[in-house]
Amino acid sequence: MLRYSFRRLLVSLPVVLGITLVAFVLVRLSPSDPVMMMISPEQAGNQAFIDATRERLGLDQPQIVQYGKWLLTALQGDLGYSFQNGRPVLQLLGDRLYPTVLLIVASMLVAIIVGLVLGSLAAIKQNSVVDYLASLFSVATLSVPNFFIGLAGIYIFSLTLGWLPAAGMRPRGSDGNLLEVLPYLVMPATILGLTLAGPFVRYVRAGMLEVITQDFLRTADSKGISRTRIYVRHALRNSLLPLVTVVALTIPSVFGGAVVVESIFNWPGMGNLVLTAIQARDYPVLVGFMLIVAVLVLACNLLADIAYALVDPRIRY
Amino acid sequence: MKLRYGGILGAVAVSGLVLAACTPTGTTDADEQTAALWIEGEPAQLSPLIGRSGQAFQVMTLIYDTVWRTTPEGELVGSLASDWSINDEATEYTIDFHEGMTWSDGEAFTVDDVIFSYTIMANSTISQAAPGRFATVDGFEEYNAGTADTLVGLEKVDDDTLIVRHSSPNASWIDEMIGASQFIVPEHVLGDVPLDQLATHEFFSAPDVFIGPFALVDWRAGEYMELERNEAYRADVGLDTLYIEWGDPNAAMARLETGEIDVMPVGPGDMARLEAAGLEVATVPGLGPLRWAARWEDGPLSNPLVRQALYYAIDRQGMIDSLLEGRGTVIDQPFMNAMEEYIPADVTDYSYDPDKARALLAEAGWVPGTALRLVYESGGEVAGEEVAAIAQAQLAEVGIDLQLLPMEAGLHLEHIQTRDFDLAQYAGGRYSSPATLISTHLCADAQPNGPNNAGYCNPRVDELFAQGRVETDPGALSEIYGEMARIFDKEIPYIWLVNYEVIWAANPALENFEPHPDGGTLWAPEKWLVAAD
Repeated sequence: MLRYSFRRLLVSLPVVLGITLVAFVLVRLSPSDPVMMMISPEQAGNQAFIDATRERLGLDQPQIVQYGKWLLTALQGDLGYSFQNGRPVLQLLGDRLYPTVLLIVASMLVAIIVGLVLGSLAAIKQNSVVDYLASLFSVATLSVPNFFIGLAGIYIFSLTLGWLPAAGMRPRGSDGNLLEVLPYLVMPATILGLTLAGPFVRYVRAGMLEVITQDFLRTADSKGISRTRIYVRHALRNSLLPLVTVVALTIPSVFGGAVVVESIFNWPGMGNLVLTAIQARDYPVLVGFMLIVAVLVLACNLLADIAYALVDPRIRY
Repeated sequence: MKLRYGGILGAVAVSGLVLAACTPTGTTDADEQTAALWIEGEPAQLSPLIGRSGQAFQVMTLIYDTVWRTTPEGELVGSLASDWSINDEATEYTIDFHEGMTWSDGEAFTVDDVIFSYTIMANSTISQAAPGRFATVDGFEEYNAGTADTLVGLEKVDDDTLIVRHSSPNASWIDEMIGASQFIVPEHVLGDVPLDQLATHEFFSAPDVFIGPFALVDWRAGEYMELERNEAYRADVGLDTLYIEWGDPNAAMARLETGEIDVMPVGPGDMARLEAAGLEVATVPGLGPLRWAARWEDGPLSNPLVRQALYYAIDRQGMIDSLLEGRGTVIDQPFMNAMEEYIPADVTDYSYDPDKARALLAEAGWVPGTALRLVYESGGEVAGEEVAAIAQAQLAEVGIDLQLLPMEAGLHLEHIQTRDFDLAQYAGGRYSSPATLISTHLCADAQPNGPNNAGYCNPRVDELFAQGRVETDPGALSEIYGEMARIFDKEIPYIWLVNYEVIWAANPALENFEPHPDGGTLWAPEKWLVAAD
């Protein structure tokens, strides 16, 4: 396992390098440039400022030179400086990493718990009302945009019932220990988690249905083992493999969903930062973000492979 | 098993709600004067050198200060300046500052701070916001050509007195300055920073020395800013703490209703609901209308008859009524609000009249179906996309094929600078006096040399602006700008669509909040108070 993990890490290095190159080129292919984004039409017409700022940001140099310089500093742990405010990209992203990871982990937990519970129930009670409701839930969470669910949640739980704060991550002026953060986390994590849970329910249901008709479960049943033990210990565990794959593959898209949820709930994660960076064409922040996401995704895929081995004893590396 | 699953779900739900019930949602110390302001987005930095962000401007009005400011009624008043005078030739301003002012770190505020701030603002390589406002100050050209290190026109008399000399008469210089981002920053902090490092200096992303009513004590990226009363401010400040937040406007309005937010800008469509919820809604006519710059130099719009036809063909009052709940005014001239006194009574009434539009187009030899390309920022202005869509339908009625080209902000500006448009739609500006109109109408400021986005050029208008700059007699000014208004009436450099109202909603407990017409200035924040329950 250790050798496999090391090999995977080695293979990941050129992949990350390739991703940075693609990201570097892609963000620069988008129309317009960062300097024009700094100017409003009623204050336009200062060509000296445009030329000087392009030179200061290094945008007057060929792209390959810009990439080479960026790569050289990135290898030394410096991802450059934001075009908008001159702050180090690593610091900007670092400030936002914890809130984003917290939100994504919490929402994945919600999604996995809901997926496992509803998916299992739907399989066990196949073609019953429970099964139909679980299907309806899956379709609904996939179909309804999370900004709509978010605003509805704010209206119900904050404005009408007053149970949960409508936005933010912690009380103003507080450093925000986990207990203080939790109430702020409930709504965004639940809403993001529910939108992820739909496919999970379907995968768990399908996996369970495949397993519960197999001979070894019939054998266990005939031995007099309790139904609960059969479903949880044997059926559910054996149906987890596809779910592990789906969870790992979902991680990149969670970053996308988090952007919307972070925006609605004013959650201070990377999503909000990146949204602003896209609008301002803040290339260093965008490339830095893509680099971090790439590393996280590769790490998640590696963890998923390791999880395969833990969940399925037949798999050995 | 059902019970077990139900138990897990129940435990998760109950623990969440218990935690929620135990958690405070804001600071509510009874003795503390605390308020929360919502703005439309988190500023990237707080630099007077970059004028793009309205939100940065709002925050800067709280922590920095300006030499002058205008009241919501349009009256010019001193802010850092206690008094000022101008010589008869309109070439020399003597400005006195309040004595004994200090920055929040205890350093004395002196004229050196003003000279430093004005000098960097006048530098066209680092200042995006307003270098042109210093164009008449003595030494401006030498300084920007690199042959001088300073603006010789800025002369320190003593710590509290500044003389500003102009190379050509300019009686309206203060009015020109008012329209710009002209915040004074501390020379003792930034004075030694090389010019090429100034624009991205950390002071502007984390300022720690202040001259305004509040001091920024905590900026939690992505969350909020915490401002505290600046004890060194030259007047009493009512609030102890002011939080500034941003984020989704719909969520913010919900928080306004729950009391988590005390004051925020809102749209006209939200006014009735917020008033019904017990919030106070205040409005004031704005200074940055939605307009179209009509490409002047060539193409289909170089004929003034076609531009006049555009005015007649668009039902601007109908747009205001249907899109803005009536919260806006139709203007035919850049002389808006208090400047309307300059408009003679005999100018044309360009109310909606498609028949007149058709007649004018026929007179201009317009070929029905000819296309005009309108470039605008997607989602950039209030109701901007709806206005464009309605205009497209109404112009089709008179034989104009308006092609809508929505795009991102930077691309929009590139189209304007490269003259790749027939009409360019945008809003903004602080048009409070004729002096603030100069750069958008002067021949020398036609794009790409200045913000005259229409490319408009009439030497007579240039002469009139020059006369207005040296004239102080109200009667003579009326004649000068009256003639200009008649020229604009016929030539229509810009199609003025809607003058928005600036709308803010506030918690009734927040006292002394008054919206300012320019939308960016937070007026007299030192007077804000939160009434006891």
